[in-house]
Amino acid sequence: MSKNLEHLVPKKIWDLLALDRFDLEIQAKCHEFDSKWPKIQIVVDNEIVYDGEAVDDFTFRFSKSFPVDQQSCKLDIIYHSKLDTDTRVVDGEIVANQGLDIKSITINNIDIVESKLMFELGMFTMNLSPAKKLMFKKFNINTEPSTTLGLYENGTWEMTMKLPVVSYFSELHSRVEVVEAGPWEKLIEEIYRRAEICAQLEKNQESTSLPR
Amino acid sequence: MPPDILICAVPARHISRLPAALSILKACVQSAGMSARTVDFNLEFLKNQCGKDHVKFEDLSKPFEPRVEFTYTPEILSWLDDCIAYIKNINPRWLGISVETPYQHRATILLAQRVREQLPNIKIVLGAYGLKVETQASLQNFPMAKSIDLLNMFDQFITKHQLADQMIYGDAESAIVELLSEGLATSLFPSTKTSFSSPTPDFDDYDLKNYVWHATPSLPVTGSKSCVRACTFCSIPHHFGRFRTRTGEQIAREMIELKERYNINRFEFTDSLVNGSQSVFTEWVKIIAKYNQERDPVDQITWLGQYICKPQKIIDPGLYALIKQSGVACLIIGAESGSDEVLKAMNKKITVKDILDELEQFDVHRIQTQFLMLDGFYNETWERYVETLEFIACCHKYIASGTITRIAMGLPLHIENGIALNDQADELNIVLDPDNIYNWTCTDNPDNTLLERIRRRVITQVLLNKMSVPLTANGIGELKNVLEQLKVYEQKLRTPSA
Repeated sequence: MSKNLEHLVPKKIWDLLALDRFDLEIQAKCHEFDSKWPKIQIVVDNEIVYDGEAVDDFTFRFSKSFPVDQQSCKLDIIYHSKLDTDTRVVDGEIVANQGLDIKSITINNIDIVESKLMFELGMFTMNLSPAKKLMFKKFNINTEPSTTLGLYENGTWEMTMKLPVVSYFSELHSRVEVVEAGPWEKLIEEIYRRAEICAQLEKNQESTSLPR
Repeated sequence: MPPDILICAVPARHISRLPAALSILKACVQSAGMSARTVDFNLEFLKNQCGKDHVKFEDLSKPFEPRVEFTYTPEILSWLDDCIAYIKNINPRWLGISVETPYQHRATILLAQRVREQLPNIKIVLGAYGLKVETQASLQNFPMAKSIDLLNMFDQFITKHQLADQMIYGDAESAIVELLSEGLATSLFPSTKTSFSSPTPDFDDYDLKNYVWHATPSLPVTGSKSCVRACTFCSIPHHFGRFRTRTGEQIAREMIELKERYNINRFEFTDSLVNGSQSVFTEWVKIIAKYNQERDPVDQITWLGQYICKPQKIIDPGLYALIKQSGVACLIIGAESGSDEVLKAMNKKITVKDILDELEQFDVHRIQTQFLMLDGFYNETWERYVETLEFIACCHKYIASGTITRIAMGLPLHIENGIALNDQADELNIVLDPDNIYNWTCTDNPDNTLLERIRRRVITQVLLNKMSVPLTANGIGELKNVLEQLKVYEQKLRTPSA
């Protein structure tokens, strides 16, 4: 469809859009337990780009560019190595707990937490020890995948996005709008084709009206 | 007791918006000590002739629309019968028809003729902005227009502000002109050159539940008339004169009163600009923000309206938070161009930086906007056009964050009567085509031809597609219009005499 006409848009505009870019920033408030900070992995498109502790006010930045023909990418935040003993409960109350609260995830300058886009990209799935599973069941605590921003159990926040990401975010925001799919794409090409015909007709007229 | 006047709206108009004029006119008439009722015959057409099916409505209401070949369809005939039965039952002394747009010209004539034939004692009065606009398109392919020389009648109305009845049948009472003409509110209620007041609109007769609401029912509010700007492509100042506004206190009190009376929280401003007067805007926004703060979210007022960007230096930084708290659902902003030179020629009195600065504030405060653009201005060179593409590309981030929910490109610039560009055409070296408002050229910028403007419109659309900016039904309609223009132009080029 209008892909055929993409060459009409000046290159500097495509450069400005930087559709291949993936600039990531994650900010989290982290909580230690007995001086042990949460351990996390950040995985972008199956490549581990961070593997280590998330300490205090944690900030992580990463950039890459995707091939223009790549259709989608994944972002995983994996919380691991938390022990059942990294939570202290006194009289049924949690008094100390290792974990982290995601404050923001910014992709290409768009905060997907604030704009709630994150919750449309995927979910957090807990990875619990058998003992914890039993305990959670006993106290009727939900262990189903969720869109929580507080990571206090081992597990993976998996997000999948189409590329280019910013266009995908636009698509997610606009899908509630009235969009007539299909024929209008041909309409654009038809307009362009007709404009070319008219331009040719104009040219012909000019050449025939030139003084001989 | 029959009312003094029955005020009605006629097809074809939106079925997702209330005809605001009826409620205001009714309140004004009542304030003047007379009795009034209102009815939306457009909605009646949806209910009775289309079985409340809005898709069917789009189809069956087509003969009312400009340019379409007119035929008396069974639905139109039964609608006229229903209207006459309704009016007969109410038995008013006067029938007022509010004509907001040219899309209502045909139905207005059909109804007026039928009333005159079957209910000769009822006097007819026409009013509203739709009578001031040209009738060439609306009455094209409409044979009844010739039979009563309505084109001429409308023209006289434009200049003399007389009653339709007076001109067609010669039996009108000129007194009613004062009551129902455009100047109604100003003649009934004390006003100055820059302000006006009007009573709270009366929606008691409206069949609110049967409108086809997009999201939630909403009520119209009019805080100001005309516009503080005089953009050279716009006809608002020509048609509505000097900018006049109510006080912020009046606007806010009306919204609260209507919300509590009709249990509807959403308001749509009919104003050209909600922030035409910064002080009035700040005043009502503060009152509504306070009202909302004292209530649960579901009980809070929300609103949408057209807004103009202004330089940061004249905006109180605290205003954005107040706008958000006042329940803004969407601001519709005429950004028009990404070129300062083009904005200057448009007389917008803003710069691209002003727009981007405000956009950043809207993003911070999670205020949603829709942007309206205008391609192909007379001084738009290729370089200036590329600046607009750059501006659109800069908006990508805000579209993705949800701050811009739509960019509407509209049609390339067309120069019609009533806009400053038309009056200044000679001065600006603009050469108009008397047969085609789209086909103008500017000798100072000869590359900007009709074909080039259409080509640029296509390029912009290709960019928007790539950015995943939705093309709405309206946008598709505009592109179809562009294609029609091309076909007409092609035909002209192929005609030997061209």
